[in-house]
Amino acid sequence: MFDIEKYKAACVFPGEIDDSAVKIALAGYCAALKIEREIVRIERGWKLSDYPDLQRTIVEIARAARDARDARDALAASDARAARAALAARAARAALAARAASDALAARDARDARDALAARAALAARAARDARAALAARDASDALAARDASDASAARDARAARDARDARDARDARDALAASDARDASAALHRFAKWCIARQYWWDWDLSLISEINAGAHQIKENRVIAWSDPIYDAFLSGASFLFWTDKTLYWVAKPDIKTEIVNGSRRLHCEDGPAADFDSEPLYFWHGNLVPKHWIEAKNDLTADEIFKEDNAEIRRAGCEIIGWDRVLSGIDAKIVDTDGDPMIGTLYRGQIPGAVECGFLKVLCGTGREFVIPVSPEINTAIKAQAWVQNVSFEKWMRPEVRG
Amino acid sequence: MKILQFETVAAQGELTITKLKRAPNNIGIRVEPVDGKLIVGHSETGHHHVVDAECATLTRIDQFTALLDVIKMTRLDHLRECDTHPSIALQPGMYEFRTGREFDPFAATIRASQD
Repeated sequence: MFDIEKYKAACVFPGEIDDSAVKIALAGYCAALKIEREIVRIERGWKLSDYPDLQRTIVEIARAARDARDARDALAASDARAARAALAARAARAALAARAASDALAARDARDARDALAARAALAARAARDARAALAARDASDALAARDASDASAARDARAARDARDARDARDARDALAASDARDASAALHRFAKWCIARQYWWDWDLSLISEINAGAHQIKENRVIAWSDPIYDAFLSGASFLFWTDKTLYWVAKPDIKTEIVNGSRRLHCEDGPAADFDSEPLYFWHGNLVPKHWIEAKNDLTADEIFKEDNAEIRRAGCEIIGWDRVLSGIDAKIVDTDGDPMIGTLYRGQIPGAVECGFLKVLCGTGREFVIPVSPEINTAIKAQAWVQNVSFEKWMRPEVRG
Repeated sequence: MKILQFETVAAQGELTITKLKRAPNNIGIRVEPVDGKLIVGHSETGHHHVVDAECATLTRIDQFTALLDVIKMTRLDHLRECDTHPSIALQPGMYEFRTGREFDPFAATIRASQD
């Protein structure tokens, strides 16, 4: 029976992970759906070769994606996503069989997979009709409110961010199949597998979300939904975070350790020295809400401005600049000194241009804690002291030098 | 604990504090305290710049500007355990707090400084 207090407690990650209880609950879930699957946890440090059924599924998805390689990268990315969706739909067909899922399930290559997206949407709509009333029930709303701003919500954000990086992972899929070196192929396929597992659909088997359906189902006494959502709720309470289906296996991933910061009352994924969403399937690293590569955090001293600027996402580039510090960025972009004030708390003004950004000034200054900062300033500023006034947001004519700096 | 003293203008991190001779006409919207503290400078990482709410009232005019009416001597503290900005004494009177800004070279726009 759904208990909102237990649900709230379960939304604090990672909590206790009870492997046996999760396995029993998910076996009950499969039984409720009248299907058979082996229940397998994806363990930390996993390799594809340790999970042959998962490996077979991922290779199948990668082949479907490869078949779209004549398309441009962006289209290939889309095809990879479609292929992944189609295979996931097919893998879950037994779960959805009662809803006449046959239309999407023949998808084998990328073209079929893309076509299957529409069919999958239809499936989702049917499933949504089943769950809609349950979700709308008041208890479900309470559960949704409890999940908001929780670790469960942050974990979902982390997977969404991972899922969004699809162009790169589509390339991984092609690389994996094209690589002549077995080691390269294995590494690329593993990266592709991690992306596949982190996928996000509305019905993406996020157990915190499905548990909300369970809450509403109990309130409106929708026994058909209760039958399959009770075990999901139990699995969530016992430590499971989300699921990944194949034809033979139901894989589950434990709740991760979550690190966040508070911004305007909301939680944001962030950790300066480790993963912010530490999934066993793939630790994810975030800098003030931006998903960044692992080594940007784990080996930040080796990170260079050049590498940061090779990143094609402006937000992630910005995160990289903040990680290594604007001081190292300045040396990395060959910034030139424009003006130096005698007072280090007024600072030195540089001019430089980051690739992909506009040319501007950079004020290197000592703060009250004795640490140096480099602050980007408006391009038209030509002296350090004017830059100080600009940073403090007062006109130069009205600006007064601070008597003390805390 | 070291507490800095000033007459007219001081700075603490991204904040510039100016003691006003009189209150401006527009004092903005009152800011409610959080756990007994007025957050004069917000920090994304929770390292706020705060004043004891029993000693002052805080109003905010815009994203960059706030006014603090100090009725009882207090101090501006920085809530961080390491790299902490020294506290600054605040005598009774009206103060303007301006949050610093920076240029965003990627978006070519101006934004408030964040720490």
